[in-house]
Amino acid sequence: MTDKPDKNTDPQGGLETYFAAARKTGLQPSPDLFARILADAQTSKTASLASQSPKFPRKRTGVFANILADIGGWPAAAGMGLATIVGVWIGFSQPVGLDFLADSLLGSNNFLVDLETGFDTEIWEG
Amino acid sequence: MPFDTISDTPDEALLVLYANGDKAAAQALMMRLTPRVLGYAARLLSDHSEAEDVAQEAMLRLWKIAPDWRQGEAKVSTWLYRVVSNLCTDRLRKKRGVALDLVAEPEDGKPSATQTMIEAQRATALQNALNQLPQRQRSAVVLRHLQGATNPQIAEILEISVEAVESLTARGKRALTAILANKQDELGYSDDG
Repeated sequence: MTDKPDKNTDPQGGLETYFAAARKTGLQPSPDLFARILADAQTSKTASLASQSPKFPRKRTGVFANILADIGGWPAAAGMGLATIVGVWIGFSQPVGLDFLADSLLGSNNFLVDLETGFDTEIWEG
Repeated sequence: MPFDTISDTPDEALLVLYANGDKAAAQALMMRLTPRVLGYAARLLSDHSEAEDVAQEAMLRLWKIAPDWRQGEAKVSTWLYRVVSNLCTDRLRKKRGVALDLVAEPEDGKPSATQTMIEAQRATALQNALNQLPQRQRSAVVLRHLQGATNPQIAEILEISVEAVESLTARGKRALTAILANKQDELGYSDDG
C-alpha cells in the first residue's frame, strides 16, 4: 500500500524507515479514553431511543389550516358551507309560495303605494 | 452478539447493530476505530491530550449519526477520518503552537535498547518534519503512509480528487525528505541504512 522509498532522493535508510518507526511508536488509546467513549455511546443510545418514541402528528401550519383553526375547525366549516348553499338556493329559486303567504296575511285585495310621488313631494316641500 | 462473530462484522453492520441497541457492537466499533482515529488526530495535532479530545468527539458524532446512517454511501472509517480532519483543522486554526509530546522519550543507557531509541528518534524527527508541512499535505501523507489509507479513500476523506491526493503526497514526501536529510547526522542511524 505504501510507496516504495526512492533511494536516490530519500534520506539515508529511506523515508519509509521513518514511517515504519512512526507506525511502531503510534499513540495508543488509554483505558480512560475508552471509558469516556463507551459512556458517550451509552448516553447517545439512550437519547436516540427517547427521540424515537411515538410523537403526535406534526401540526399543520399552512394558511388554510390556520383559517380553519380560527373559525372552529371542520364542523364550523361544514356549517358555513351549508348556510352558503342554502342562501344561494334561496336567492335563485322562484318565490312561488310568497303570493299565497302575502294573500293570507294582507288579504286578497292588493294595493299599490306610489312611494316615488310622495317622496318627490316631500323633497320639494323641504 | 458473540464477540467472535463481531470481530468479522463490517463497521457498517456494527453501526446498525449499535443503533438497534447492541452494546457489544458499540464496544467492538470503539475498539476497532478509536486507535485509528486517535493515531490520525495525534499526527495532525501533535498533542496527546487534544488528540484524545478529538477522538472522543469524532466517536461521539458517530454514535449520534448511527440511527440515521445511510448505508452504502460511505465507509464508516472514511467518514470518521473526515470528521477528524475537520475537527483538527478547527483546532489548528485556533492554536498555531506545536507541542511535541506524542512520542515517548527513549529509555537511557541500555545498549540493547539502541534500536528502540533510534526508532523513537526517527518517529520524533518525522513528527517534527510533519509539523512543518502545510496541513493538507500532512493529512495526505499521514493517511497514506501511517494510517494505510488508499488514494481514493484519502480523496473521499479530504474531499478532493485522486490526482490532487497524489500531488499532495508527492509534494509532502519531497518536503519531508528535504527536512529529514538535514537531520540525518544528528540522528545517528547511518550504521543501519
